[in-house]
Amino acid sequence: MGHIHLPDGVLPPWLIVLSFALCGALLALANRRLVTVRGAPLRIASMCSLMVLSMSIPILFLPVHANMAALAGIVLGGWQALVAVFVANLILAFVQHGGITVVGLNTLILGTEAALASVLFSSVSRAGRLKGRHAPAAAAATLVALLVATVFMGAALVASSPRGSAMWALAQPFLGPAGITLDNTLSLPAFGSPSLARVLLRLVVPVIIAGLAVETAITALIVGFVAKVRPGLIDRH
Amino acid sequence: MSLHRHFEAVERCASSGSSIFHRASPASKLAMLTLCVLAAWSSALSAPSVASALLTAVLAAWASRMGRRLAGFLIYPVTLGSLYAALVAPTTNALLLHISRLAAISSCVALVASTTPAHRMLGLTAWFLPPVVNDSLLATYRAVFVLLERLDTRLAAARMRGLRLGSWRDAGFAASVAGNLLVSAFDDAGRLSEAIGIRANGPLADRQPIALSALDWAPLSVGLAYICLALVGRWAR
Repeated sequence: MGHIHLPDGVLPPWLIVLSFALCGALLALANRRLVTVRGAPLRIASMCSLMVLSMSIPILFLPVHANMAALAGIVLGGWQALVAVFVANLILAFVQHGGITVVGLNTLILGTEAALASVLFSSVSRAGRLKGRHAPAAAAATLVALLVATVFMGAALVASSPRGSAMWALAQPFLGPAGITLDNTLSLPAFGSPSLARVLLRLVVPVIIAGLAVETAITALIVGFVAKVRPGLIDRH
Repeated sequence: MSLHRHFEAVERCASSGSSIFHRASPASKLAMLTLCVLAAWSSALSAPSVASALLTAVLAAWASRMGRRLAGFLIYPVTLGSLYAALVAPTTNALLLHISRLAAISSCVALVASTTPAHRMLGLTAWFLPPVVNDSLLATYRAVFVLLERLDTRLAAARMRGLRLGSWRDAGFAASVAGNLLVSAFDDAGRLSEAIGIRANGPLADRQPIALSALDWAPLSVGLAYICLALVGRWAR
């Protein structure tokens, strides 16, 4: 869900450079941790190929797809999942499913989702009410991780838009409840199409909510299935 | 056209073509892509930017022999990018600049992807991606086609048993198919990892020497043409 489909040429250069710098540093760290782990690239590839397949299949009638980043975090752990997310985004960028200059930002967003899901799943499935109940623990971890990643993605899109554009007006309904108010010049867009922004807002929010629910359910079902047939895959973390 | 078909089309065009772009080195094509991105960002007027976009689209259609499939390849990024541009562009000229910029970069990515076989690209990426990441990229590109074939087999078997995929009722079955694919992919990874360990192999993808040849004039000239068009746009402003 938290995956920017924007093509190249629309994000500002500062965001592209910053995201690639951060992504590069994180991948270098991941490499240092994983270089001695036997068979890590092959395990990453197994998960990653499933991510590439799932990212290319729309969920039912919705114009969204499950990206399985949370599942990658649960199965592989944070560092391996970060590499898997980067590789999946890079391969998809070469068939224009998201731009090649957006790979850095997409990796950061989905990497956050995977890392968060990994940490939450480990802690929730080891203690508390959901101890040993893998599917509900995966559902809880996935839902929180998806929500955080979606907010991250929205914030990145708004921050990268020029101040005064209709994109800022689009963010107003979400910033208001958080106690953040925009001044009049920002809440009434000076340029861009406000009517298009309103239509998009009405269309996008229900689709995002439905997408979050479906991806959470799919992840929980897959984790439940894997826990039955090969529990060793998810009990390592 | 689904992404699966995109993968197959791109791979077929890259492996079977013999244009000058197919014979040029991956390094020169990557340089062309970098120059295209830089030129797209530094262009200040839409006319030279539109010229860049048209030049790249024509080159991509000619060199990759993708023909009408190129339109299918570009429709997704151009539609999404135009939607975003409509929200943030202050003037019509800026909107046109946004759209031509993304069309130029998307066509250039299509040109590079559809004229470079994956194994040649991976020899180049080994120079700047960490070993674990590059090995994962190589292994994923192999695994994704294997997994795709398995998915097709399982779905065909399910259809023959009368299951209608796409309804909510079958979500559990879809999850079990995905879980099954995941488990089988990890089994393959384990076996392959043991084989590699026994043979004491090093990184899966070796660096290939970067050597420019006389054939590299084509991508490098196109890259310089982008920069010239961008500079013309700057001076004419």
